[in-house]
Amino acid sequence: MAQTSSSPSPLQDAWQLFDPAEGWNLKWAGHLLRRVGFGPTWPELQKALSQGPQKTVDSLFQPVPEAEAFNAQMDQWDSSATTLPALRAWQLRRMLETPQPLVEKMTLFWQSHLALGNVRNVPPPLIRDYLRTIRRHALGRLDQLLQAVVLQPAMLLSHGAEANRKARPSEHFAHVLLEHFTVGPGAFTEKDVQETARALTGRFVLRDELRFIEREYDDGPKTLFGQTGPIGAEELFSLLARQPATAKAIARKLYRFFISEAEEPAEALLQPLAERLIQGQTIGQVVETMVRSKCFFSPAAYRRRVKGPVEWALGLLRPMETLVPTEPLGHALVELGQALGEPPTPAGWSDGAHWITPALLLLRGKWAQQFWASGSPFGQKLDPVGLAQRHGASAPSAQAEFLLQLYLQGDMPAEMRNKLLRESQSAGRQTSADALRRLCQTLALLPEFQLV
Amino acid sequence: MRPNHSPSTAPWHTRNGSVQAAPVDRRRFLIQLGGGLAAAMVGPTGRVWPNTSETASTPRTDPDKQDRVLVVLQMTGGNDGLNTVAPYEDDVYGRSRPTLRLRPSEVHRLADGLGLHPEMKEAARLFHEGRLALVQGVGYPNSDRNHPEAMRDWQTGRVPGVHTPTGWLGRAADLLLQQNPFSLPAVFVGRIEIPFTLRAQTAVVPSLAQYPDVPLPIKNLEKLGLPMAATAADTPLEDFASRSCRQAIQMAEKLQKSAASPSRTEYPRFGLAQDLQVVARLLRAGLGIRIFYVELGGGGLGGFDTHAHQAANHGALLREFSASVAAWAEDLAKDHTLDRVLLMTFSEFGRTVRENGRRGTDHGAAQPIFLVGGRIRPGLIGPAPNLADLDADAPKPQTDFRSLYRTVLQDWLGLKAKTVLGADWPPAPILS
Repeated sequence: MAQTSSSPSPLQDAWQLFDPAEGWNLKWAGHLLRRVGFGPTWPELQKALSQGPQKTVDSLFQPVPEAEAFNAQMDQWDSSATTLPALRAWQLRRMLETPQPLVEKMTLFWQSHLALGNVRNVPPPLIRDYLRTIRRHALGRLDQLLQAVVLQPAMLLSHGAEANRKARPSEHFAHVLLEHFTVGPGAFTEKDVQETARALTGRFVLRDELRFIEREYDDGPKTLFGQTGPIGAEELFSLLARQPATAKAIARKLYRFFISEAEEPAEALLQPLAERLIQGQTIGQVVETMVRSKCFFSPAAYRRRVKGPVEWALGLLRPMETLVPTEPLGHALVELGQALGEPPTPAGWSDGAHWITPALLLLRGKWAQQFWASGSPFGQKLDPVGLAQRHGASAPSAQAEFLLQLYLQGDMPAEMRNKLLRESQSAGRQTSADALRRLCQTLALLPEFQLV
Repeated sequence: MRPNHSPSTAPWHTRNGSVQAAPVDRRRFLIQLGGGLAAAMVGPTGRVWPNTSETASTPRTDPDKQDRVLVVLQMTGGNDGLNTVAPYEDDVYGRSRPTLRLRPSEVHRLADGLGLHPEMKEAARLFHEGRLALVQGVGYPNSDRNHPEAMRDWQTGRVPGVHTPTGWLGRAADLLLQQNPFSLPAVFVGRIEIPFTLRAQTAVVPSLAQYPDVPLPIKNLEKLGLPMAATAADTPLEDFASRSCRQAIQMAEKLQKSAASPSRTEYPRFGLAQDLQVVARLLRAGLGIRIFYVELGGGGLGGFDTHAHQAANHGALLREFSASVAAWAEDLAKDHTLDRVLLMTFSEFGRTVRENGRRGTDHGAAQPIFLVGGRIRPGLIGPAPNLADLDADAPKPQTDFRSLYRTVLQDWLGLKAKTVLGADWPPAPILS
């Protein structure tokens, strides 16, 4: 598909339903499951392969019976987290085990888009509440998401907006809200910043809770994006959510997250997505449109994003079908540049090539080594031989082939594939278990595996 | 598009009046640099902070400066500048410090009435060799005297009236990464949590407790001859990933080579010396790292925060500083590496002139800053603190710290300082 073609028809086609008759195989199943979750397991791949793309997507949006119990259990467990590393560990545990992978994937997305500021002085339980709120609204309506998340105590505290006094509205936070969370740079004026700050007056964080103090609320008329009235926080969020600039900015980010960050999308591609948001469709519905589309199952989307540290590490670990200790995993992610709960700036994590510079590939190599080192907290858990056997690969050569299919669906240059298979056979003094571990470590660093 | 808002509330976003243009310009900029390759990675969110169009028009690094390296040494706690570089003949100094004052017979004399702490023998030698300079009275007006706030000011570069989410060296690292998307712009060497100074929007700054080992998977790839050279069929992203992977293998080879040929310089057994030795080995490995950051004082209790019984603690830290830096400078001077290296110290503040009754000193303001390197302007830079004209018992600043930042960024590293500091600062005469 010619994404950047000047002829309008392929673009108009882009969001139409993908027809599996055009080619549905393990490669596309892997593509779909990687984008809507974290590192598919072999059974998940096989199920998607046999169900086809549309039914697989259906299952992402249908109620999942076990979700309620899972969330209740996780909520109970992560209530004990009093430090950021502990909180990270629980978030990773959810990513690894959730029956609703897309919800968790979008929780990661919004954690970057609606980014916390400086969390040094924010009690971790408030960050946990912020994450729970995001999770609840991750696929919901944009205005409700904004309303619920932007006024989280963790958000206000981390951006220094815990006291929005009538006499001293927080213009810094208003600026963050407009520039990073909603309409985006260039789409607002100084006046808009002031009016936005006034609309947020009266909101305070007192003893870690959000309070509305009426006498500190500026109830005078405000004019914002062409609307005049005594705009308060609720009106502000629905007004911001309705702005075409907001819809466009979020559509662009979703495009980069689900389709491609390799090139700027044409306006004609973004416009239909933005319109859906303006018309009040939920974020889930827009995502659904994207992941069912011809565009999604096209070369324009395949391996057109760089795996961030979370996607890379979970992409290695989750397919191993065993629970690994997630606190050291959280630490690995900090080293690789993605400290969950603590994005670098209000702009969130930058995506793109900077995650896989040569130096960071060396660091990824260090962690890949750790994951399958026999003495490490990870290596004790990961058992590639056992996994391969469970899935019917008993000969060492079949086991190596299984790992290539599991991690890359076999999609790599033939010469590379031959070298890897030969290497895992010519074991020499090493056992076949060692050879498989080495193969996993090597796969983790291949250029193909850095892309999603 | 609506007009941008005025500089009064948020100068980061507005100084140039062309916010929207930045990502687009950066894209174009990268196309020029990377021949389209890097441009593919650039998107609306992948921009450097601050968001100014100067970012986009930043010229390529001056080729003469591309191999130059900045090492910043953080002295945590608030170093007592007056007992580091002592005005030992000054009456106010003598009167104010009945137990702590340093005597003419014990200091290492630098100039009339000015001497280094007795524990700084090696530093004095470097000074006389022209490899160490002192900038006196560095600070900023109305400086904060609380540790976290003052440290934050030094680490961010204190852009007035703005919440700064990144550190000044983090922003420099972002610029360097923009210029070369395959580079490793900065590393922290030490065992404390990575300092805020290095927080960047895009660049990830590794924190190394020791010289890094080469991971086994990298060796496997090398052995297998993977990845193969990119083909014409590759997308720009695939091409980037595969080039980056091959460069990682080269980087690993360089790391191993440097590890296999250690320098023969003897380093003292201090933590700082070991960190600086790692810096030296990384420098010799030739990985293209432009910014190193090391720290002294943050590992133990108090560090330079000498409120009580200062003499012994302060002396020990200055000895560690002096012996470690001198060994390192000697090491680097052997093969002229020192000529492309500039080390700069800072602490969050200096200390009060008067002793506090517990044989210690309290939080002050201006401080002396050490520069070490092969191309510094040797000697004493800036006037000595005037102890007859104090601000709440501490020396007043005579050189703004951002003038030093500006000079090391622009005249040493070849970066556009205004993009990092958000404002123009006059240069400081610190380079030869």
